[in-house]
Amino acid sequence: MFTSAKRILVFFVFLTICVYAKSQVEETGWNVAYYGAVPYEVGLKVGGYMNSNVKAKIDDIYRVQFGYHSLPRDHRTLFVGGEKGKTIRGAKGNSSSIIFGANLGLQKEVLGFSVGVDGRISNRVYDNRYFLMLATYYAYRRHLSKTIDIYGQLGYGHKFVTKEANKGVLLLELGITKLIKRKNYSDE
Amino acid sequence: MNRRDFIKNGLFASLGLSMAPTLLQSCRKKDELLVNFNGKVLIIGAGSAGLMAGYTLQQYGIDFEIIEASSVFGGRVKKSNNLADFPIDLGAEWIHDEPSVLGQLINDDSVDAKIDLLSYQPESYSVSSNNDLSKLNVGMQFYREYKFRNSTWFDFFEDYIVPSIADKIVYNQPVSKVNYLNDQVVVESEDGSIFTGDKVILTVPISILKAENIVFQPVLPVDFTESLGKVSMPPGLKVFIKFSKKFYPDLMYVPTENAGENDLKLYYNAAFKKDTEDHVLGMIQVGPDAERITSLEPYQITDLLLLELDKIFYGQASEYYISSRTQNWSNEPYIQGSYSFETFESEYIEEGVNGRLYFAGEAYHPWASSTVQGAGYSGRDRALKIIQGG
Repeated sequence: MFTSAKRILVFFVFLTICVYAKSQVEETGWNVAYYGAVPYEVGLKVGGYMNSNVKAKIDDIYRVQFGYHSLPRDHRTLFVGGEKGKTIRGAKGNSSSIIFGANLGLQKEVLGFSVGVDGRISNRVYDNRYFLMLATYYAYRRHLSKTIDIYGQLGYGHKFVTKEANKGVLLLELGITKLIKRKNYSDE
Repeated sequence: MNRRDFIKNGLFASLGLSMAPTLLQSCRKKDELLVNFNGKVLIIGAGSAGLMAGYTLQQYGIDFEIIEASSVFGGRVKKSNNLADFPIDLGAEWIHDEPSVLGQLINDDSVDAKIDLLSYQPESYSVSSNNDLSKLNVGMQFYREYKFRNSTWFDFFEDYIVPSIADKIVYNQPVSKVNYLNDQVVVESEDGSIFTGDKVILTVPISILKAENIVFQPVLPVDFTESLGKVSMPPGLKVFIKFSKKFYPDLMYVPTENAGENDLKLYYNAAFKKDTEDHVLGMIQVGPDAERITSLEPYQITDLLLLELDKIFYGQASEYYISSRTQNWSNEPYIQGSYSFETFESEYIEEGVNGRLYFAGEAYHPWASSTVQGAGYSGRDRALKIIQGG
């Protein structure tokens, strides 16, 4: 599974460097979102984003993300990832994006648990697993105000997990972004 | 959630969450229920429905007797300890509901239960077509159920339900006649033994009812038998094969040769998340097409499956084979099939016949049919109906 790990790690480091190198571009901000694998998982994802040129109809978007999601009685997952994509702007500044990302994470798999007469769960037995997930997303972002946008993002990720077969997952993200810095911004 | 449709459609069941059972009546505390019956209840069958009916009557201090045809309780809840280093469910295996359903069946706050379960979400899924295996490890997130981790459904009943009613179960008494004409109900077994009571709850499988192994006096209502005709309980079996190495996915759907709409054949990793080093592949086949295999001897069935697996896995099945165990439910004399494929609907389910004859079992529950808990709930509901004077 990790035969390409070094290549993936280099890509991830490169992506992080690209994000850092473009820290002076047009728009930067942070995002927080509900995130999970459809339909049962719930989680949280936070991070930073950068758009290279908000005046252009098409520009680049970069994101660094940290997240946690869990499926009760099944697993808990912590991950860090980087994403890069293209944003296409429509009317009133709303936009659509196609994004490619890579996440590295720790998945605490629940091998078993106990249930009592009252339905309470206890005695979870865990096993640590590590994964790399490569994902493709479609995101739609809409202005709420000068500095706040909301967005919805749907994606497909392919996970390479230790001790498990590789598998695909459908991902859903619903979040908000908060602008921190913009250059030559004009309200439309 | 209908288990059969869910599995048959490649595990893409409806996304609605399992309904939380609204057991407003069943979960009512003992002192909240008005007891309006002080007679004796005969329960025919010691499967999930019969055991839960007796368990409920016991909780309310009502006299009863469970008449079981075979030598053991459980019906289609059955286990094996001989194949692997973990107990295997030879019949009902999945829980098909939230874990809390077990506490609802026990329905006794004084019981200190800690039942070990596992979350069953297969990590690898394949479909075999003409011996070609297509790996479809996408969409597993839409499917999740629960199973017992170090025990079985049989252990659940043995540990939590049967102990309080064990002395009320008589074995090896297959029933041949039920006379509910008069105030006293008379049940006669094949060896001539007579059992009498005031009410009777019949929990035999639908297939036994349809086979007319039991003579009723008076005969069952016409509309009841017409409704009975609409419920099928096709042939079915389970086979467990122990291997020295795991070369198969967690779940594999194999269309049968003459598969119809109601045919299902699945291979699955029976040791998934179990606390074991053994590798056991389970196979379940139910539906009309299963009759081709249920008519064979166990060793012939094993040979057939190994041949099929060898074609898919390039001879690895034979190479790593250790032993196997077959449970042919069609050949069980007091079962004669797998499970009901439709829900039995009739006014007589709730009301009984002549106020003395009641029916309970996995086919009768309105929203949990074909499940162990559905059978249990229906047994409990009939018992509560009688307790309240119904």
